[in-house]
Amino acid sequence: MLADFFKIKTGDILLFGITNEALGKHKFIVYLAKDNKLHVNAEFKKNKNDIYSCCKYYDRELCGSLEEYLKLTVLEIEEKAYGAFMDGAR
Amino acid sequence: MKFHESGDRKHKPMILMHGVLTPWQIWQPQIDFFKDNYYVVVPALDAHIEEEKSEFVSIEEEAEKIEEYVNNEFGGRVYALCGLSMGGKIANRIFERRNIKIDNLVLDGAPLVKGSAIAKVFMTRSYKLIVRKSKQRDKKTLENFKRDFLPEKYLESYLQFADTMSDTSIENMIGCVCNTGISPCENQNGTKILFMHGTKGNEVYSVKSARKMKKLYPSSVTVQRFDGCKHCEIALYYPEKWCGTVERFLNGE
Repeated sequence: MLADFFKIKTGDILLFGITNEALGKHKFIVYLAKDNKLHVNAEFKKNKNDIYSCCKYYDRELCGSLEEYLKLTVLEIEEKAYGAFMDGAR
Repeated sequence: MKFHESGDRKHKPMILMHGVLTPWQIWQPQIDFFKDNYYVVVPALDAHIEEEKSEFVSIEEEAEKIEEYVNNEFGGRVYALCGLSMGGKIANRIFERRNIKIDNLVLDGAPLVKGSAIAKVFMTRSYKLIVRKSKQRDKKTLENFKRDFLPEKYLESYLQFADTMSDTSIENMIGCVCNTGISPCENQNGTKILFMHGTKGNEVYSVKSARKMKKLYPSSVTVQRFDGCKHCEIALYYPEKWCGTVERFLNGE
């Protein structure tokens, strides 16, 4: 459903990543969100004109600033990405 | 485990099992739909009972309790055994153990395949945090819960059992889900199996599970795919569609 998706510009994306094989190789992006924090999203697709549609159900706040982001380890980012991917799991 | 029963005992028994952090009340629309033609039983799984504190020990123990109930109440035979997510994993385990006769097995979003050790660690930490913050009535956690997990009308029921849920129960639930895979068995009773799944995000685990079940029991398994749907979305947000799909399957249509 369209209401489940929000749009972000390619220019706001800091990282295109993929979780390691032990986590199932799931694609994720890290981007600057409207709340000026960095978020991770694990359910997205590219549209025309460099716009990405992201599903709001697979989105988590990663950290509050670029400075904090630079201090994160790969594993910490992957954990957040996997958490976003698994949101809603029962 | 606490059993909630609806309908007339003269009808065929149908059991509906919920998943992790999900109250038994999520099945109310299905109970209302099926109770005129089936004797509908909904267990509140251990660690999910509102009235009292209980511990989830293992999928095996949950399976044993369901089997004991079916043996005592229905002479060891259930017409339809349905499970959502982890409830589906328990239902499938009951099918594999072959201690009771199941005419129809309905699995929705059941993560039957194993998860990795690192996934288990991440999932356990995530669930512990959700439950801890729910106990504190953290506003953002509860908003996320309503957005990502369950319709708002089930929030109060969730909070009642979340308040008594222990870290050990969470470790045991995620441990069982991630550590155990499918144990192939002979489908000697001719159980018909319906496997429903969505396609978004973490439903990849359900997709893999459905494929494996179809490979193991090709003539018994029907796979119903809901394109563009997230984990258990049809059962929770569009129950009339879920009921229609299950009813057609049970009627052999």
